[in-house]
Amino acid sequence: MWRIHWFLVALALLAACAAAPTFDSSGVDSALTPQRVAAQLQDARGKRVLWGGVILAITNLSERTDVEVLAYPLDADNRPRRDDDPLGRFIIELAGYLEPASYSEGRLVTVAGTVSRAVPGKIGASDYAYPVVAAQQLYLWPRDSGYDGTSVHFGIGVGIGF
Amino acid sequence: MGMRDFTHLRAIAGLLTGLLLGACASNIPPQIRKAPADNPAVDEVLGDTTGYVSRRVRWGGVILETDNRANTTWVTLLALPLSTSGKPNISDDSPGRFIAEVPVFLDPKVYSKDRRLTVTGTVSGSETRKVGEFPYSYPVVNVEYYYLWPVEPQLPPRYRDAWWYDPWWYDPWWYDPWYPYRYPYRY
Repeated sequence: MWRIHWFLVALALLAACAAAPTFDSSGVDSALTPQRVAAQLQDARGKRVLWGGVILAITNLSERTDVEVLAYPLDADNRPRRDDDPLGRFIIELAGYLEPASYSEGRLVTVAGTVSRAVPGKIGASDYAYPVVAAQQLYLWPRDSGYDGTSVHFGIGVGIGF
Repeated sequence: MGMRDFTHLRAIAGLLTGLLLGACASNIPPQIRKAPADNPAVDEVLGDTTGYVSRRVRWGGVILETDNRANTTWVTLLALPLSTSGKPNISDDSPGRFIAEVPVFLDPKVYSKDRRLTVTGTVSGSETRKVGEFPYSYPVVNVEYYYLWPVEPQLPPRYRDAWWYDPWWYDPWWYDPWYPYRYPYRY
């Protein structure tokens, strides 16, 4: 009898923890950063990557959507760590429509996919080669920087019954 | 005599209940608070707007753009999931975009970007507009009732949770032994 109750309590506690998504990281070379890919694209083409960062811009094209991202190292949950040094820019390429009002500038994303090519771009007057990742899995991290892995809280309430 | 006292008490209790209920009353139209019996979702209608013409809907979301026409106002919205009372919940799973055609003038400074709006009315058709280069087919709703939700103060995330407590919190000004004089250090 009591055992069942404790089981329920444990279940409720676990449910209160925020769940991070799981990414398919098989065959991912974590040393392959956007900067390194931009420098030597020939070796990187077709490689699987798990990258994430801050959205800088989103472009809706007639049949696909391009998302420009400033990459950051990922934490244990594969969430970009904005406090670390950035790792360069890249472009996520996704077939179909992606809502720019949701995937807006400043939001955090993590993507699993393959490096397909590099597109030349300009940042100010500088030439910049953007590695392009064909997205297989894309995750938009919830808003708010008030993120802590476990958010379990206890409260005491007073009620009055009639 | 005892009976009379009780009726008196009951009258007071009734009055109190009335006052309490009165405090909860809102100016949200009942047509907004209650969804129509058959309320097709935005993403259902998006694919096949012509099949849903003249169907009643209660939809809501955040305003993307307010366009004042000669006699009407066209409000472009990013739809959001609604609570049972019709209030849009801020979230990332938007079912899509739609246009609310409101038959009155709405001030674009009031009905401004990111404000929450819920409307009821009937689907009147669709309008294709470009989002970037993507031709987006927006369902258009002929609005009968609408409600602009009040702005909620946005607190920093840590204060949003009433039970949030930072064990490392330390404020050097919490106790200032030199008050009302300045600290004896230069900084």
